[in-house]
Amino acid sequence: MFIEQFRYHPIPAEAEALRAEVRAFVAEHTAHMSLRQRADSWMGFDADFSRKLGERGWLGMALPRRYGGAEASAFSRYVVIEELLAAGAPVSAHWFSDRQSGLQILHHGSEAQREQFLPAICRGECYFCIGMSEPGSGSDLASIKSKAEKNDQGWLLNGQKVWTTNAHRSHYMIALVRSGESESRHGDMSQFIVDLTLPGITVRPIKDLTGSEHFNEVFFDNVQLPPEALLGKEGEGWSQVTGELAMERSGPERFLSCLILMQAMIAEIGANADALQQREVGRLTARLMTLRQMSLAVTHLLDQGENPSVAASCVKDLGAVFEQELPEIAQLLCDVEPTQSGGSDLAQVMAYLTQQAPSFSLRGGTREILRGIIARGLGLR
Amino acid sequence: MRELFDNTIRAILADQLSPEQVIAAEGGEFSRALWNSLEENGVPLALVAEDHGGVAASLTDVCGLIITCGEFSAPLPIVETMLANYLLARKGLPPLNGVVSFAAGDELVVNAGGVSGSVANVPWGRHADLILAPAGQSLVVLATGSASRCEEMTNTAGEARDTLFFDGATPEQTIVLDGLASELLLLTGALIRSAQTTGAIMRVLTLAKDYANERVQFGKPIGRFQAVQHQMALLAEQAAMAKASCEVAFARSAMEFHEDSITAAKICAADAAGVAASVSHGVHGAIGFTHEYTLHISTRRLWSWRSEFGSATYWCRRLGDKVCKSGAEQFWPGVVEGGFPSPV
Ligand SMILES: Cc1cc2nc3c(=O)[nH]c(=O)nc-3n(C[C@H](O)[C@H](O)[C@H](O)COP(=O)(O)OP(=O)(O)OC[C@H]3O[C@@H](n4cnc5c(N)ncnc54)[C@H](O)[C@@H]3O)c2cc1C
Repeated sequence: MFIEQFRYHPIPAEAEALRAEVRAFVAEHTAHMSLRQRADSWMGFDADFSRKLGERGWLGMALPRRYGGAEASAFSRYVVIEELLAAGAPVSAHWFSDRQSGLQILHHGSEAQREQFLPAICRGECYFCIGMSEPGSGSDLASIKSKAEKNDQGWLLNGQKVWTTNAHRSHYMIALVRSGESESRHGDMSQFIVDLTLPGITVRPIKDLTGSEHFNEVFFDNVQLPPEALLGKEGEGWSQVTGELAMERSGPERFLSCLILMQAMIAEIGANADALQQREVGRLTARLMTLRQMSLAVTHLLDQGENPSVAASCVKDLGAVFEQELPEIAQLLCDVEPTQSGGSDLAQVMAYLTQQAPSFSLRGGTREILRGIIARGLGLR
Repeated sequence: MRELFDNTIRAILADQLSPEQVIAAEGGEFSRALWNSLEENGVPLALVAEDHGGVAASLTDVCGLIITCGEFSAPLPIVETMLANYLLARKGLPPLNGVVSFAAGDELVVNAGGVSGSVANVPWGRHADLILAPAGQSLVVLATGSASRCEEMTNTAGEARDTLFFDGATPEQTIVLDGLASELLLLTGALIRSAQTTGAIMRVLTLAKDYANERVQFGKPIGRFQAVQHQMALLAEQAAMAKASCEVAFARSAMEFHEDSITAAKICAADAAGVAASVSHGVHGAIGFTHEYTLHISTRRLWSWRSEFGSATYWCRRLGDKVCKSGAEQFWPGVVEGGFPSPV
């Protein structure tokens, strides 16, 4: 059973050796940011910062050297991203490229695509967004309707994506669309690398509940894609996207979004915690330490080329519960009125993360979908 | 070595321990045949050096073995004996003969007249030949025969948890430690109970999963109802968390007991225990509430073991206090290193 997969896999020494340098770099580059800005976790967008990470060799680390990567183990990247996330560094610009698009292109792309995109991804200059969801297709991703039809110049793309994080400031989208007629529900989909500057594409930001603009709707109106926009094999889109989702669900971003709040809360409580504060802080700490080790076990499996999708779903769902609990517990332990503007750092971070929390169990797959995957992993029929 | 241990213990317990025997043990019987068999297979000496007759296994090697003992509700202090011998081995001392137990609570007083005082919550105390108990910085080894009285008590699962009284007893050994003996014994107990709890969680998960695939209502197995599936997913997540935290605690304690990892394991296992018992009973319906069906053998142990050697609340408060005292700046480094400095 997948529960057996949760063995102890400490970070190997050569990966751990990176930590001090990354931590110092991150501390220097986040010193000017307010606590509230750092609570933005992986939503903070700063192209300069992304380029600097690229210069350090900390992007696309797992990619082969000939494409600008470091051929490093998954653990090296783990050390880098967990330090970035823990400090609330602005990683959003390159996030999807580094986490999944680069690997997707490495695994499924042509040599020309690898040469075109991977070095730029490693430099922190090429940003991707993920085009999966559509207005009629959220959890039921296989029901998407956007369509690419073959023509003499390549593919003609029509349709709409929605909730596309960073589409308004990304260069490319990897889009999952229908590409033919097939009897099977999963058989006629393909992935395309869509250049977002092409004519016929409209990107409209959607304000989230806090009024910020992170996600978008993206319209495709007779967009002419060249033949080389196809990523991987025609008709293989579903299996490709399934692999991509495993990369999305296993990382430490699934339980570190609220770390800044945890720290602010500890600062507020001070050295003389009361019984309730001790108990809740202790419980959160124990869970966080364990979640991190679980995520390292999944990283080990990914590094070994295994498919830990059920174990990854466990980590993501437990991570979301943990992250969603944190603002609630902060409210329980600290007698502070949250504030949108003005007020203490803690008050602002609380207000911000309380509002963000609902999204933690939506993005990357809802809790119901993840629990369904786990139940299937248990063999419930 | 680990796989060998896992397979050996599983074979012995599957073959020689029936649910009826577990229930009989609740009535006060001691499974002597099973004990002998475990002894013949060297289980009490697993962690002891070769020149003392053991196989010098590491704690990581026995993590699975202890989980399996919990899975089968082994009704004897085999794990306690193995760990007691390990504590002695770490001091270069030879292992003890017979059935050994230990407790972390209370304090014995050692003076010229011998050892006096009481030791409560001794697992299987009435069946043990020897116990390890704390007396300040000393770990004393006492023959249970030298106790003036044994007050028999049982936990929620009916397992013996006795109080032994000593009145000027002569200790078999007195081992002077660097720190408090109660602390060492508490960590040892918390470590093994986390693993046993994880084992019992694995058992109820398997029982509930199999039952959900078999039991038909409304024309289909209840495991096909999404509400049931999601409850089972929650149980599996908690099982995974307990298991992962135990693996870390055992691995990190290889050289020296790793306090904060053991703390995390005890907390995660104890929290998981409550969810596991609740979900597995829910899925089973009325049949799981009967004495005949074996689910209760594991759930009643979950309700016991989670609070032995420190409840979740005890360990949470202890860890939370350390985290708050070490301050916000130290929080993330502490999580990465897996430990926080003890308050002075
Ligand atoms: C902040 C944020 C960023 C996002 N970024 C992106 C992005 O960059 N790219 C992208 O493609 N998408 C993105 N998404 C979309 C995200 O993947 C979807 O929100 C998610 O897949 C759920 O789809 P939905 O919102 O349509 O909800 P629905 O699928 O309509 O679900 C609504 C509710 O019904 C439940 N439900 C649905 N089906 C079932 C079922 N079979 N059984 C039980 N319950 C069910 C769900 O669990 C949920 O509780 C983002 C979402 C958020 C909130």
